[in-house]
Amino acid sequence: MQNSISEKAGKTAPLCIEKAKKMNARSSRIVFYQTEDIDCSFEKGRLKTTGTKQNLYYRVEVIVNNKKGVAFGNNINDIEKITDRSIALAKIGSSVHFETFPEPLPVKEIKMYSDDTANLKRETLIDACRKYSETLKNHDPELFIIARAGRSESEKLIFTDTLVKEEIHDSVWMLDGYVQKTNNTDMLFAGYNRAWCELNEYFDIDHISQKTIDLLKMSRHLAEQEKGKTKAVLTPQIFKMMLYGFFLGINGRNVVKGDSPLKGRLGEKIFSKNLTVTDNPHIDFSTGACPVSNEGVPTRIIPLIEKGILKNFLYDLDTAGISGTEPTGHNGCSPHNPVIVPGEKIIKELIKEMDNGIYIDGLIGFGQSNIINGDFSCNLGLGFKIQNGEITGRIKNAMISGNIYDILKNNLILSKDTEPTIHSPFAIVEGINIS
Amino acid sequence: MKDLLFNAIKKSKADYTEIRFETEESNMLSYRGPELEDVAFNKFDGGIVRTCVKGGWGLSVFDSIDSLDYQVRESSNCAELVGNEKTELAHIKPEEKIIKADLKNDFRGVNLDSKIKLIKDYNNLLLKSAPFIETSSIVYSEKFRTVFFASSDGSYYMEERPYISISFRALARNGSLIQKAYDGVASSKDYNVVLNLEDKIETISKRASALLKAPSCNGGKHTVILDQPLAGVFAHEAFGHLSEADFLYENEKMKKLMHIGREMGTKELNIVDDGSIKNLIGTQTYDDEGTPTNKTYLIKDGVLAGHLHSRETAFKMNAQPTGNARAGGRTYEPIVRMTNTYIENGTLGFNELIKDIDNGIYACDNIGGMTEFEMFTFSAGYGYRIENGEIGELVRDITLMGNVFETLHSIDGFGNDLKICESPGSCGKYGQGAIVTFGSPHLRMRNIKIGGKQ
Repeated sequence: MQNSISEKAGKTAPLCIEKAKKMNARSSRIVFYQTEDIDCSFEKGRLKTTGTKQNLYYRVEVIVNNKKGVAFGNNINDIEKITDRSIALAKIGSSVHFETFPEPLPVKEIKMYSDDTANLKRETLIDACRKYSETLKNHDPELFIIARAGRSESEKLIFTDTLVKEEIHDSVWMLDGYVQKTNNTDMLFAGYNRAWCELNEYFDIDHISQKTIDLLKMSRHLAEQEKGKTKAVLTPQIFKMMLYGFFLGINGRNVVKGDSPLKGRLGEKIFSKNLTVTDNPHIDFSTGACPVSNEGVPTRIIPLIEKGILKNFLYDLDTAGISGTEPTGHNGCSPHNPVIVPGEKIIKELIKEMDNGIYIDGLIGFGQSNIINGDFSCNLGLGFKIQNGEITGRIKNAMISGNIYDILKNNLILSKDTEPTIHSPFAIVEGINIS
Repeated sequence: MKDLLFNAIKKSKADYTEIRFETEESNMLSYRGPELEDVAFNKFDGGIVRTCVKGGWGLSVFDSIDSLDYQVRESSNCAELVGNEKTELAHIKPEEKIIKADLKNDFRGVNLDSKIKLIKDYNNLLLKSAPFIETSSIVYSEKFRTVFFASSDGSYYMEERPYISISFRALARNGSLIQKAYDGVASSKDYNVVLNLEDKIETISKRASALLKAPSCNGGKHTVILDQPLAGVFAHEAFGHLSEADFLYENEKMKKLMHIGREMGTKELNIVDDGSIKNLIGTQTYDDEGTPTNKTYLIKDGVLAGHLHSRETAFKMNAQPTGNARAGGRTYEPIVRMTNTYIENGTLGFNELIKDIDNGIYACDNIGGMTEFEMFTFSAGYGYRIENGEIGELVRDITLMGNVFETLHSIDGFGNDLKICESPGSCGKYGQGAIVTFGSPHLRMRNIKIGGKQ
């Protein structure tokens, strides 16, 4: 990094932690997060903006008399004042359900940083966006084309009164392209994006271009869709998004606080036997990779669903203390990197074997229902009709609704092919209501 | 600060340079279930330099004001990579102003213990006001933000932008069925708005409990009455975003489609955006390019009357800048955003709106909304059946969708009870959150699609 915080943080953090100890803190931690980003955006085929971002953010948490105070800042010169504030807040703060931040434990070495990504030049990002714009323009000169690319380098430093320093360094690139096709009042939006830590074969603007073109080709004709219950193909991105309600349900905080519909149901079969989901923060270069939580708890690979059976909830230190279980190393009790085990046939084959249904690539307003209950009701942003195993046209002016605990329970089929950067296959589900 | 900013700007070689630096202190307190969940303090400083060279924009985001000269150079270097046309921004008269917050009851003068007691009492009330209440969430948030802005055109302002909000959520549970009810208030002016909210708390507690037994709304097309918050969100999603000129100015087809004079709805339909209304949370004296905010008609008498502009979009669309270039915070560049957006009053009382509806839905409150311009969706918190002109049973799961080119024409009744809603939350665009208000009188709409089983 151009401006690493490591040295300064290494000097100031232990002093602040020592100060907190003198003020009767039972335990404390300071987490620093520094990022350096470059990005660019293209619109209408021309480079519109490029920029640089450098930001620091830190969190000071102090436990005094079984209560915690938390304060955040971004100016390292203020850290002593921020620590004082944290100590003061601990007098009136929320109760804590664990003793101390943990002693240092062995942490799995995971690759999250790539020199190639960190040194990715602005010109390379600009060229990628330019190529996307030119490719899509050649495909259809009437398209309005937007492309964005960026890369980020970050360092995270965790100090506790027992953990002298844990340093995590990562790098991420991002490619995002989408188009708008306007035909009188009809507007079509189609696109694709990817992010990863290592500069490898996934950094492929041609792939993103081709995915966009495939969607445009599928959209050439409009199709009417019958109302009622239907089978649906969910793209990897949509399938992952559909599982958001489930991720809220296994969030240990939601479980202990009573929000989760999954409370008391560990060991129960809640989904199809074809569904196995693991939280795996140990995949090298995945954007969800994480060797240790922000509390200093080493992460591990945890089964969430095994052949449809609910296996685990996720806990940070405090929530584990409330529930009387072991912490699982999850910040905010949310999964780091859910990985869905794929199926056996590729999606093209599976669609050919379908009679009729819909193919969902985009949704408008997903999540704005009673999502923790698993309910969804939203617009079909980009969807297609499937008839006798063929995609026959784009569906417009339609809504879908249902409950994920219903649609993923029976007759779920997963494809063999996945979007590797998000560890998700396509899914074919039954029982989605279309209106 | 003024000299510091202008001295740095003087060193810029760009066609246009602006610096925005912000300081912010905030507190957040929350209860979840019976326990105090969080007590947190934040202090952040930082800003952004934005430069334009030959029509191309460069950005440099920073934390430390000591690095300004470097940031100006970095931003200009970025802009030089981009630009190969002309820098064209609508002219604004440079002004210099200091705008101090005029707080009626300054939240900074109320101690934290009192605030914790306040939300504790609310929380206890929420948990006991109805059967089946499993848990609660009450979040109190206060923020005092100071924005310093200077540009190479000579504009300068310092504006204090305080904000305070409280949100409540009641969660009721029966077996594995969970239902929620929400409410909240926000203000830029007065701590008193978070006091004496016991009625609201009891209402949401009872509603969450009642929703457990309420049936889901049938899917399909309905005649719908929208209450003021939901109608306000409808205006925001259905048309507000489509008015933001940064979605239009580079897109010839969209410009043609959304041309001034296009008939968009019935003659009674008037939609306004006004960032200058005193004391609302969406209000700023200047936008984040130094343009004074003002009132813009987006639709007048059913006809498209205006767009929301930044200086760049205004120039390129041959319009006046409207003061709608807003940044979501210190690490973001300004983009075109709404401020306080509302549908103007009609003439009908509530009973007149519903009296002729044999079979319809009264949809209330809002969970949120989203748009892809032509198509939009918005979700009600709850609703009631309307049968033979009377309000009937409670229903839930009401998500409405529309096509903007049809739905605006489907409004055939405008109430006379305009309400502008100041509530917690924000509007999202390109990853930036903007504090906005939305408002409307009650509206009656025909043939609106609601998701769900037929």
